[in-house]
Amino acid sequence: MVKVEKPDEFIDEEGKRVDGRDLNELRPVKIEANVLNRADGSCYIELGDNKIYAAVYGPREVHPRHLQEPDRAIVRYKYSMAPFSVSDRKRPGPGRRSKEISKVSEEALESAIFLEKYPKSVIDVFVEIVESAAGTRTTSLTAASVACADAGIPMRDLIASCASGKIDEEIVLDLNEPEDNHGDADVPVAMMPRTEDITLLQMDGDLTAEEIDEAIDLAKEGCKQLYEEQKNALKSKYGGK
Amino acid sequence: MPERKTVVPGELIGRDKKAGENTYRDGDSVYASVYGFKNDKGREVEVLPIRSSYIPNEGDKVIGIVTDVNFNCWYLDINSPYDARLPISLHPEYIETGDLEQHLRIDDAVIVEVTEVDKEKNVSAKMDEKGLKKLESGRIIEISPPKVPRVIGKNASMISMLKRETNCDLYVGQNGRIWVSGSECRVNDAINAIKMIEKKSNISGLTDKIRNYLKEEEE
Repeated sequence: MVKVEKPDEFIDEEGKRVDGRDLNELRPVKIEANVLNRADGSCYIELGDNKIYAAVYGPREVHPRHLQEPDRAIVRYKYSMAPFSVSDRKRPGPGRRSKEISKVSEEALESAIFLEKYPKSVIDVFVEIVESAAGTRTTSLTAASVACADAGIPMRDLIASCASGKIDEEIVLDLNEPEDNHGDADVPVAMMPRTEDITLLQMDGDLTAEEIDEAIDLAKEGCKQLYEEQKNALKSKYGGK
Repeated sequence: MPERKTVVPGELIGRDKKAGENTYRDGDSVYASVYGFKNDKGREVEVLPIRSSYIPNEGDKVIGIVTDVNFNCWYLDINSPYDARLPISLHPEYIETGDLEQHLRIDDAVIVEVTEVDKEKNVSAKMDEKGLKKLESGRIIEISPPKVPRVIGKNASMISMLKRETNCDLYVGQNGRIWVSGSECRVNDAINAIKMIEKKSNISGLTDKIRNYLKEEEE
């Protein structure tokens, strides 16, 4: 595999990006629910070159017991990248980066779930990145939330998630690999589309206050588009519209 | 069965209606909280889940599998996040403390009734009533718990048809475990039929389809 080189310009004269997208356009997305037999709920997602599986088990008994909460369920979210998912081999196992992503994603997902319905139990979420091309934490959350719905877990709303960022002084939606590696800033956002409550917000890079607002608004638009895809993926399983 | 609309969590399913099972209310509007089929009952609206784990309720008859034996009780896995406790006093026979393993050992299957579920989801079960017993032979399969009513059918039409056509003994636990006992090849037919019901539970006229399938298999 080749290293991603920095392009001479991110946006050409016609206002198109390196992969031919408009500034506010998502990469092509494909979502499929219920793909794994042995999981209670699962989902496969492709966003551009990202390929991700999410599996949900539970609610089930908590082991080890001391993690149990007497009045609510807990969520365990594991984000893990396959060694072959990136151009340099990634050392398998949890690292600083994947632990952090697991933690913030867990909290983002948790806030949509009615945890008090299943006291003393655990909902295990496993996310496996098979191919990675920028924006995996947001894409994983989008998939994990579909997998949770597929498992029949009661939730306030689905979680839709995508990133926006800054390249060549422009705020754009859904950064791809060269834009993510050589761009100026990256803002991942996760939200509950019905109420537009944000459940995850991070920022990497430099942005002015106005640019942050613009980036969040743009990411919200992206989330809404993804939400439609999530709904389709779940509804098409039973011939509904 | 009327065509039902598939809904996802957070989807608006009604206004100024009573929020039924698997829904929640925000202001005047009612939203779905699980992935399933919308069931509008006029004044109330609810969602029938497609998949969900079994949550025990008082009075449910379930099939449990012994996972642990204590000095005065057994612990049963009832296909749920919560284990059920079967105390020695609610076993049909009189048992001396310490003799529990002579009656039920780890991995034995039993039909029990849930007697109590408290706030912390501690589940108690009993076995000292008619129809509640240890299962000595046959096979146990698992289906998704929300599909249990479909396997039983209206007025138990589906389950009695299955029993009649296959000559098998069947018991459907509320927790999605089904016990099947009979001659080997008919048991296989019954299990295939149940799996078919689970897969095609949203189709109407299923009882007749399953009957035809079982008739074909017999020949």
